[in-house]
Amino acid sequence: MIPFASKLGQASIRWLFIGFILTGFGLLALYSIASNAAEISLSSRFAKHALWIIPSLLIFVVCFYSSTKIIHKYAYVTFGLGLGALLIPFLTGTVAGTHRWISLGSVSFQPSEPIKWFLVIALARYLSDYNLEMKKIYSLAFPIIIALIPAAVILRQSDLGSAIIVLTPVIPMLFWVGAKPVHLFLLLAPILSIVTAFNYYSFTLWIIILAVILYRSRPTLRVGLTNFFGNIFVGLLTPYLWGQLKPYQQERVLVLFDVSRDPKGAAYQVIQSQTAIGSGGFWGKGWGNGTQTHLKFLPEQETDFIFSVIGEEFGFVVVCLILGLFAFLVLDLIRSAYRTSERFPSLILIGIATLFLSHVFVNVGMTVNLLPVKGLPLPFLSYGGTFLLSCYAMLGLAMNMSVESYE
Amino acid sequence: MLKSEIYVPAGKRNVAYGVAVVVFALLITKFFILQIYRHDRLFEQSEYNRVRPITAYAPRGKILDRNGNILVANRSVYTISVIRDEIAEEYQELKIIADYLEMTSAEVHHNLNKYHRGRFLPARIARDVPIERLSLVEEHKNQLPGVIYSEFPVRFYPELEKVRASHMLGYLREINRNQLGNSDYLPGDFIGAQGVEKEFESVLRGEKGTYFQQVDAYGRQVGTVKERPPIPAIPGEDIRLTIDKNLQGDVEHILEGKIGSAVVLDAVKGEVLAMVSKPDYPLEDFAGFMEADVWAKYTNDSNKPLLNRAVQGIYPPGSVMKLITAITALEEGLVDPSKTISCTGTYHYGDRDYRCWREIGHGSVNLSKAIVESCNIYFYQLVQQIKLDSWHRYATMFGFGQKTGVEVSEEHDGIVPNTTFMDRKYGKRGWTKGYLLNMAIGQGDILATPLQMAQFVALLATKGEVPNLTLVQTKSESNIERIRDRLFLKQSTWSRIRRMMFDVANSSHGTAYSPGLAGSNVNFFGKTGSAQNPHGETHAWFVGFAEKGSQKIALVVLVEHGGMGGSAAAPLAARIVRDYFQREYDQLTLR
Repeated sequence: MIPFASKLGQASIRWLFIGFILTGFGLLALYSIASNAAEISLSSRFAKHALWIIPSLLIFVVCFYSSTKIIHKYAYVTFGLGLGALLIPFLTGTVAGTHRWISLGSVSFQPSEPIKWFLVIALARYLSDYNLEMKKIYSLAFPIIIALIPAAVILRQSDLGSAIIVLTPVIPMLFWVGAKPVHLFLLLAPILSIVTAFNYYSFTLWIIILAVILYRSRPTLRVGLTNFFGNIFVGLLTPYLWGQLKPYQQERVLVLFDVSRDPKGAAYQVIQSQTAIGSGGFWGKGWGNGTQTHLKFLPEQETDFIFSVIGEEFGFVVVCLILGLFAFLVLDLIRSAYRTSERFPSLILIGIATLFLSHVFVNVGMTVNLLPVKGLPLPFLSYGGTFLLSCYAMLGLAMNMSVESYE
Repeated sequence: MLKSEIYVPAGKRNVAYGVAVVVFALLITKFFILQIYRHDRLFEQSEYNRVRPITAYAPRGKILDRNGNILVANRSVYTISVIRDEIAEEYQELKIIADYLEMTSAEVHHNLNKYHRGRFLPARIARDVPIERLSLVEEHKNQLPGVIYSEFPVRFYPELEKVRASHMLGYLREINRNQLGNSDYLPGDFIGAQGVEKEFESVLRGEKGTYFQQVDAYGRQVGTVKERPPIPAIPGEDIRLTIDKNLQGDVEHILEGKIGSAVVLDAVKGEVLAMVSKPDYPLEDFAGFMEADVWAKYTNDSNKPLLNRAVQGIYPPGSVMKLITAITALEEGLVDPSKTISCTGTYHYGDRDYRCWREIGHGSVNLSKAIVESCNIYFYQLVQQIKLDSWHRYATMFGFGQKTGVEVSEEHDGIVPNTTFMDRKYGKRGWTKGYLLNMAIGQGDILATPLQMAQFVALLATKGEVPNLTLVQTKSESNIERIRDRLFLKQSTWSRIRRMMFDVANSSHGTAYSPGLAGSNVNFFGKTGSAQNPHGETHAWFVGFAEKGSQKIALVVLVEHGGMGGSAAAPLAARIVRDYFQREYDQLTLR
């Protein structure tokens, strides 16, 4: 084992600083929200979030300093334990109407957060062990099934946002390890079949494109036909399944295309969020002066819509700064993954880059009405202990992987 | 195992870079659109979200009498409302409120459900809450979260038991949809509906102000908006009337229990000193929120208390009109005042008999006796010389058949027939000179309001020099609008009429002989009338004026179905004159 300080010296320590800056902005926003009360007490969310930094740094150290070998060795075990933890809330009953939380006395814990990166580690091990298999399309099925298990459980916890996020690293990691792009395309094809199925012409056009791509990529006859007719079947089934959705679920999707559909209901949050961000302008209204925030027009302002608070109070300048920091972090993670010569760390890095990117995209996209409201926190900024812990764990893991280890 | 190498081509890395760059570029673009491009509109939206403008009512101008006594002022009524979502224990709290307000719990619940309009909006549970009850609620405010009171300005009449002046002052009503139109009134505003309140609405109402509340997402008030200072309400201007509060009260008192009207004018200035219509109504019933059954009570009353008889009631003037007939004859040189005729009680004209009111007749009658003792037969004969249209001309000169222009709403024109009118009404050959006989004694188609009659005597009192009538003291003394062309008659006509009217009140034969005033230092002039009408007993008229020094008042008393003018109206007029000059005297000695 190399000494901690020396390992830290070799790692991309700038990522940690980015984490600190982002956490700082989160605390600024939380402090502003909390300043509504007469005095800021220890029970305020600002104080609670600040306290969570201590265990977060501990977990960071653990994730950073553990040897890659150990991580590799216990990858499946951790994943299995994570899956088990995911099931515990179903045994202990609901907290706030959902099965998302494990309650440990005064502290609650969300097992759906760590499973995201447990899965990345497990997939990284599987893919680095069976990298050559991934050239074949049927071999892709197994890693996808592994990912679908936690996603299905999280979906049962009615947390659609996290269920989708759990799945996001799979395709990039497969891509990174050498799966054929056309195979990945075929994996994604059913999604396009669903989207185009609502219009006769778009569906026809899509099926023609699919046929051309299938023909050009020359798969076996069996693969080609299964894919072709499978997609047509999915497309035909979609309108029926859409009809089976509950109206509020349909509404959540439809509001994406037209915010004004229901200004008091589904779109209320989005409209108030856009108003908050837009009214902030270039310089913002100033720290603690956000009227949308302080008069509670902005919903979920400490968690899902914390970036709207930043947009309102600090303006476009700070928005660009924070998005810039996130962009730098993600691009640097990709660069590091590219430069790492070992397969296992490289895959973990690309997986974590994907997790950060998808969190930022889904959360921030939601606040500005690029994506439907799904309830997903923003890394480092949103209030929530488990998630902050998880973010620093990923940061530690990534920095760990970025160190070329010659043990 | 870990040492297994990975080879990632640069192309793959670039694809990954590309995806990330596209994602962030998309986000930044969207923020640019919102925060830079759409900033102004969204900022406005956020202001609109948080700022709620609240109307501040302007106090309505007061109405004062000529000496500055307050006739109409403002007071506040208090309404108590409940914000349902801020109540902790609804059932218990409403029970406490009901106790304080001396209402039943059921009433409170009923009102709460009736006026509940939505979350965090106050629902009115009680209105017109007396101040003692209100302070009880305020004292226990801590126990009663979500209970608020608001002030609503209504009219207040400080001396209602002494002076009513209901019709003249008028009242306010809640504005209706037609009136709203594109005015700057809002639904629920009150607007002058009658009398001075209506005529001077624009002066009295003032200008509403606005203050700005900051509200949160639930509509709860969380403070004021510092950047937007309140726009204060501008109070309405006071109106100072020419009415003398004491005289008005006396005249009302004198007419109490009668159906009729009385008007007293300052003949020199053309100012209305008192204007009474009976029966009247206590204006307090019309202040603030009007109950439907109270309104129905007044509108269904067969005595029509809402009718302002002084300007809206039209009556045949009766013998008073003989003065116009006499003036016409004198001015046109159609009569020799000293020439007598014989009155036997009937006058045969055409195919019917016209009667004098005195069945045994007046015997030998000249013009003066015909006025003083009010002989009809004399005028039946006299009018044979007169053309309808010249008679009409003189009547019109003295203001009949047109509005006086005094500042009360819905004044009636009255009617003075001329040839055109008669032709239209009865056809070109449908009427005969017989109709003129009636008109010469103020019967038939001629109709006048008490105020017109008062104006007529004021002109007689001042030899045609009365300014246009007014009810309001104007700020500048020389008001162009009030100058009226002087009415020129022969000096001899003025003095003859004056002499005759003096005799009516002072000669023991006079129909309005008033022993109390005759021989006093007040000169009292008049003419009585007893106007026949299809509804029963004659309407009793007295018109006249009184002088003392340079003071001249003109007055009219009308008692509907009162009987003879001399016995039913003249004594009331004499009392008014005595009261007026007595008070003048008192005031002088007090000083």
